[in-house]
Amino acid sequence: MNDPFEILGLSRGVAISAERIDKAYREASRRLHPDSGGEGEDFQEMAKAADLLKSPSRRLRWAIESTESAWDGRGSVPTSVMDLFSPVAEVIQKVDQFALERGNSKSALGRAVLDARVPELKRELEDVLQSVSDEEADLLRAFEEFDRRGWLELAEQMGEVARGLSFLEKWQGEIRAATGKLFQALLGGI
Amino acid sequence: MSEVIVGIDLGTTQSAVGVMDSGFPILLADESGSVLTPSVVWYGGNGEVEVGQRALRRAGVDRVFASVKSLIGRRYDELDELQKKAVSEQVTFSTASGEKSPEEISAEILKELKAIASERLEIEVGKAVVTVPAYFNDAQRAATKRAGELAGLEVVRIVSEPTAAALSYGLDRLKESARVAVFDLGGGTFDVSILEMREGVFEVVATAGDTHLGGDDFDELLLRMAAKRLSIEWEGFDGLERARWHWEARRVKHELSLRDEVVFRIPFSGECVISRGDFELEMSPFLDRVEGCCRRALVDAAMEVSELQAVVMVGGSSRIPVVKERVEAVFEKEPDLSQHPDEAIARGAAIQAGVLAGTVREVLLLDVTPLSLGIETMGGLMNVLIPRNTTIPCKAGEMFTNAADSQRSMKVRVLQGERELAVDNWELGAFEVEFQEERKGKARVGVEFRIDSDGILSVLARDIASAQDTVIEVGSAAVDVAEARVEKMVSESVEFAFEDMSARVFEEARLKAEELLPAVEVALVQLGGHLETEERQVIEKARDGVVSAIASGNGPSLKAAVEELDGATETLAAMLVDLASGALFSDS
Repeated sequence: MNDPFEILGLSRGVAISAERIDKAYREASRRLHPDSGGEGEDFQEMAKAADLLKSPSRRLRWAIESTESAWDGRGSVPTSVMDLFSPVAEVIQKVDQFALERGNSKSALGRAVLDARVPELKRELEDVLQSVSDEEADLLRAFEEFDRRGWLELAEQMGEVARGLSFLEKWQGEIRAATGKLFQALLGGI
Repeated sequence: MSEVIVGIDLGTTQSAVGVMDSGFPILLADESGSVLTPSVVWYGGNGEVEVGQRALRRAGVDRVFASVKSLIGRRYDELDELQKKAVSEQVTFSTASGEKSPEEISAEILKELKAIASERLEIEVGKAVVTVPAYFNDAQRAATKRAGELAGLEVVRIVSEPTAAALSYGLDRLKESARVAVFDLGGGTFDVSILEMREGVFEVVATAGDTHLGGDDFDELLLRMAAKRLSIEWEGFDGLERARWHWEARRVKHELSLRDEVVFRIPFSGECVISRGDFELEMSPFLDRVEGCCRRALVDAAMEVSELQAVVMVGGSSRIPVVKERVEAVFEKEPDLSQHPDEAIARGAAIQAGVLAGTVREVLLLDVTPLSLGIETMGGLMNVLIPRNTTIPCKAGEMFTNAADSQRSMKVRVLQGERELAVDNWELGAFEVEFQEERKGKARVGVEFRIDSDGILSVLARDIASAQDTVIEVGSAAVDVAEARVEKMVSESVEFAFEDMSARVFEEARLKAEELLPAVEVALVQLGGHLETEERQVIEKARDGVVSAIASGNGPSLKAAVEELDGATETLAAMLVDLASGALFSDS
């Protein structure tokens, strides 16, 4: 992919806030969206670049590859991230089990007994999401140093952080999906 | 002068047309001064057609066609039993002027709106922006576009209804930055969208909805309530009688938003009083579904309700007090009722029409695709290529290779929906990828899926060797109706064969008993203290009855015992539900 920073008119640097990216995306949309006279292809390329930048792990990965260092998706991951693996898997499994039992439930009382567990499950989901977000914030703190000392020199460290972040982002999505599932089981609809 | 594009809200129960006038969206009135046209069509025997108020006056006397939007772009096998009764297996209505599809009937409404606009603006209107529910899928959007063409209108853009309402809300707030939820509960469909508005850019962040939930369901609910009270078998009603009950139900629904009790009255059939409390009680399953969509939109947007500055309510059903109450409870803020519930969407459509005509320069809309797009993989799973809530226009590519030396083609099924199993999603159609004759794994064809600004899909195949693109026709997944019916009959007959077998009855009852018995113990420990001694005894007696019926091995008697226990524990279940929902939403 072409330089996403350039496409969005941003100076190169992985330590960039979500707000900055959003603002650049809106300004570029004004120029490039077909409805304001732009070309569809340009808009889509820009939207893809913005999507990439909005994800810290993909942003980091792009930075590593731009230095022509090798990117290894299966390398080491920060221990602090690995420590979260079981708590996340556990709560998601609990919700899946709940949704399954709720779906198969045949009596009002059976459903009511199951539903009584929902507040607890919801709290657990919120807690684990919080831990994941805290960990993400922790890892993001290293980004300024990456920019300062140079991507080429720190490529290996950046790789580890990027792999950790990609787990965290994946988990955030899964935890949100589980929260949605919980409500869906409870409220029906969709 | 730039060309005129009108904005049209093609609603389930009523429609409207608007245009930008000196920077403001205005709605155009018909000759009687009304800006709302009932979405009702009547056909005469000699090819006459009447639309709107004129057609509506015939309702109850002659057959009129209403709420056809709920059938547009849909297949017979997806319809519910009541809808199937109204149409042929090709999903057409038989009218005095012959068989008419939902598109053709919708086209009559669009023609009427086109005529109103042309009359008021004193020019021939040829282009329109038309709104559809955000949660409409590809087929429903494409069918709406075809209806426009049949009416002689070029549909320059399909816009989601809640997005249109957001434009209407945001037009005089262009300097502000806000995150808002738009709650749109109309006559037949429900949508909720979460948007970010900044410096005139309206960015849809997430959208969720239900294309079969709206005011028509509440009419149906009131009809059933009244029929039950009057001990009348409404299932046997013919078309006209049904229509009469429906219009009365609608009137009662409107009145119930204003007072606590309303008389439901059908001449020569009887009358009964319906209280707002009773109506609200029956509404709660619908409100739960509405809430489920709202919560999913919030989850998708990764936002807390506290991050939203406003929840804007539109759609006729947002006038119902209990709907407002639920919205306020879910979003934890007083709903914004500044937009006219019936007119906001047409105004928004007019604003987007202005954007496309180049007269409105300060607004830019970035909308999303509401449903994930994917293909069926081996093993019957859905492989998502474009996730829901991706900004449109967008595209995604997929590479296909031959799995065997001799393989010359491969069938690809295109799906839309959120479920893991392919069969649970909506099948848009299927196409064949053609391979050159090559060794296994050597033939490669790239396929590109594009979703345009209308939310409509097109598919391109690229031969890697020649770099030639060809547009692939995604064949409609026309299910052979006769075949589908045979399948249904076969499965039904198998079901009936089991019906009289006591073993099956016993097995079903035993499964339910296995769930109920431990649940009773849990509930008694948690809530036993709140029960009267007598209530407790009734439950325990019913429980013991189930235990001994299991030992007896007799199907019917176990079934009866389980039903008794189910009944005896109703209050207990209700108490648990209250407890859980209290704990669930008090802390967030």
